[in-house]
Amino acid sequence: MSRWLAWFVVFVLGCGQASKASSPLPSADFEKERKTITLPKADRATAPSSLVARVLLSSKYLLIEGDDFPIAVLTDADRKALSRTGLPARTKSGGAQDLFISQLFQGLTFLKELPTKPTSAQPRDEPDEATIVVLADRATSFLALYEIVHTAAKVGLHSWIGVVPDGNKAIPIAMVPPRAALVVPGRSPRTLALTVVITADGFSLGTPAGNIATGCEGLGSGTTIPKKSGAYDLAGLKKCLEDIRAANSGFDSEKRATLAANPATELQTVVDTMVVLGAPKLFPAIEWRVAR
Amino acid sequence: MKWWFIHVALALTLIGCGPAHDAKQIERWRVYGDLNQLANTVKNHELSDELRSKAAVAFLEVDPIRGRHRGTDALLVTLGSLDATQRSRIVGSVVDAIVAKISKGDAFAHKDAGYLLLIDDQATGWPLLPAGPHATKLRDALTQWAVADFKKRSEPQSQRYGMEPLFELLGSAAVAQLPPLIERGGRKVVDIIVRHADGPTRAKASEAVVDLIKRTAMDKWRQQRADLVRAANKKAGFSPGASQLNRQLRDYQREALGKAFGSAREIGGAVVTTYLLQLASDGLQSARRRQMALAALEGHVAANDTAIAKLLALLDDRSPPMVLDQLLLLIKRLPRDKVASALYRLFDTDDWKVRQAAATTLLEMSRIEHIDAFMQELGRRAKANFTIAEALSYGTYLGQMKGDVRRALEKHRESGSAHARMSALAIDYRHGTKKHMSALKLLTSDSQQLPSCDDCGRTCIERVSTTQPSIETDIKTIGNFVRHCVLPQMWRDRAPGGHAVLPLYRRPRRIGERALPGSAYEEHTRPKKRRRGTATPGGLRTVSGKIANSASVVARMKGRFRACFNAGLRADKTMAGSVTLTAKVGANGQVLSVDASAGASLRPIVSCLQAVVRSGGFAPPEGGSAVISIPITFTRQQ
Repeated sequence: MSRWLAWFVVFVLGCGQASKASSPLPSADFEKERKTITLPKADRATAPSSLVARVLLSSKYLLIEGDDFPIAVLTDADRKALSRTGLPARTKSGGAQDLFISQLFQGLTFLKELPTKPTSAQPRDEPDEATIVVLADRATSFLALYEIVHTAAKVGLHSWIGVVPDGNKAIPIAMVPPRAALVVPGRSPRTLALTVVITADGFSLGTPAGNIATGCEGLGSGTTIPKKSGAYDLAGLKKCLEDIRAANSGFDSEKRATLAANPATELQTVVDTMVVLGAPKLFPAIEWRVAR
Repeated sequence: MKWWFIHVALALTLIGCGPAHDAKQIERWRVYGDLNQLANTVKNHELSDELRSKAAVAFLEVDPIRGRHRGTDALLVTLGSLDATQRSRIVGSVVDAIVAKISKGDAFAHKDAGYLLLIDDQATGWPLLPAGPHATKLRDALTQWAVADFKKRSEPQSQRYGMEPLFELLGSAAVAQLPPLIERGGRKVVDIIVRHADGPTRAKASEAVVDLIKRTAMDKWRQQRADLVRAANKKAGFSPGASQLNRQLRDYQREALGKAFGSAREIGGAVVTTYLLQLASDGLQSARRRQMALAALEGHVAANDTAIAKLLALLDDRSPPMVLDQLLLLIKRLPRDKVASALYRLFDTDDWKVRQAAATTLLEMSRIEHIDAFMQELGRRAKANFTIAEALSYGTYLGQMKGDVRRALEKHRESGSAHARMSALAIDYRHGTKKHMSALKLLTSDSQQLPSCDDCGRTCIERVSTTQPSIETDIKTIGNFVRHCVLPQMWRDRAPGGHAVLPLYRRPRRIGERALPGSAYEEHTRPKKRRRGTATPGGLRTVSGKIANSASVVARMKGRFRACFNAGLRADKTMAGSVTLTAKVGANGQVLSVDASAGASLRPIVSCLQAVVRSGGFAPPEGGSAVISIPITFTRQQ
């Protein structure tokens, strides 16, 4: 009897192993993949209140947490093209130049419709908005991140960028549909509509009235906050933003600003800028734009 | 436990635990979404091709998992893992399944799978379906799917790929079927044609879009859509009268025409260019339609000398302003040497606004070496109604040229026709600095007369300070122009400390009633509205008879009453008080007489007020005539 029992145990275990070994389709473990990436660092970190999903962009996959079947399996060529054309054309609805990742849209739409549970018990200032956290390596190109955030916005989700040590701590990005459609000439309320552009030379700040001149003094040409010793001058940016806030007290209620960067700008640079720009007293709702 | 027993057990494991591959099992895996088992079946060379094909097709029928059609991805990965020979034994069934499904309906997931089988992605080693009968069959089916209901099928976000990449993949043969869909498919169809069509298809599209414009411009077009608009109104709970409905239909038609002209601009081609030129030159068409035709020609005439000649033939100072403006915008993008003489001919006009528009267009296209010819033509041709505003606008454009423009203008400042000299001097008004003032001072005594002009607004106003009255000077000579217009402006702009003790220049009065839209000078020349007073019609009293719409007609007059009052305030800042106008209205609603009872201060504006009431628009009174009394109170704003 014991022999038959032993035989049965071996049979069952063997079937299990054989089944695993024969898995022919690509599958990815979210947590395992997450450990392969170096998340961007930021001093400021909060947690989204209503988390719909975490999305991971690692060197191999674009993946939604809970899915073992990745949205995109990235080849070497795909990785090289990330900073030029973003995610592979086969993942996007309108080809290489499009920003809409159709399968991500489908997956997030499904998850958004599921009931969500709060992930933080801490009292929060931000409204309870459906949110995703995007985890990506600090060297990831801005364009690839932008495509993910753009697609999430199409689902009606706000995006947060993940920071160390765990992906639930993140920096929010208010990615909203373009406002141009809402502008009625002569009727739109006056807005500060600050735009910060990360350029190769530093930070360029602008408003509808014009660009802010070098040194952050009035309107004029030039890079507003040039690089210092080859590094972005975050302290200079902070001071300039504070000056702008102080000089435009009529716009105190305006919390939104736009952050634009070239496709190849590294995520860490973007995050550093967002930490400064998104300080509570400055512009906590940051909208992204890709400067092409 | 003995070793033989383990060996036997392992052997049994490997042989016995594999699934029983049959159609029922495949169906079960499909229902449960077991993609790995389906993949194993497709990859198992020992199974029959029929069974493997069935498993491959089953991928497409797996329900979405967590919102995604992962069966499609799994199928592609699985097919990609097979060598070409093995794949060719299966892929035909997959193609048949896709074709059968998409020929019956939307089937977006199947369409996406078909697209993915055909795309050539070097990164992943695709296409999975090389050229051959299966690929041709699939391409044809995808084309039919796309054109069968382009508009509906191009919109859903539930599909992976839109129409643009699909037609890019299918190529010019598929795009050739799109021209008839331009009207219904709209902008997306046009974009695809522009990007992916070959020559013959573009020619067909060109004809189709012209046909679309013609059909949309017809009265019949509005009649055909009347029911549609009525239904929309009913749905919105809106009950328009006949005239409102007609206005709605006209707006609808204008919008549709705008889109059609936009498509024509994108597509271009000989047929479009010929038709648009013909439309633009047709004086019987409305100005707006002619303007739209010209706007749609943008980018299609530069390399076509015949078209350029036809365009230049349209340059006529009697053309409606909006047509002329659009024409000049178009001409500005053409080579200067081909259009300059036609623009110079417009300098002969008596209408200074037309001349200004032509000249500034020409200056924008000019370089420093063209200045002499420009000045000569201006001096020779510009005979009448030359305004200060006109000269100043040329100064603006001259100052924007590269090079030493000031030196090039020296001789034109010193001598020549008064008009050319004013234009040359205007550069200092716009761009001069204090260091240039000494040279100009010599010209303050220049007595060359400006040709007479009754309504050119040749007045410069200097304001020494905010507390002193302005000094108005009529400009009759070049010396006056320099002394009272140019030098004060240069001094004001460049002096430190602002304008507190310095003369100011303000724009001349009465510089035309309207500037050409879009011109850089528009803002400067636009008369500023100043509402300094209010006019409040009091209780309207009917002395005799009855007029149905008297209250609404008088209410509409309020703005014009106020305009009269504001005009009066400019002459007399203390003006205020009440006026009672008594109007006698005849049988047809015409105003027979208007009597006024006004205080002394308001008498200067009584004739203006009477004119407003005479313009009436009253309904025929009951009983054949009526007398109404309109009391109005005028108050100054603080």
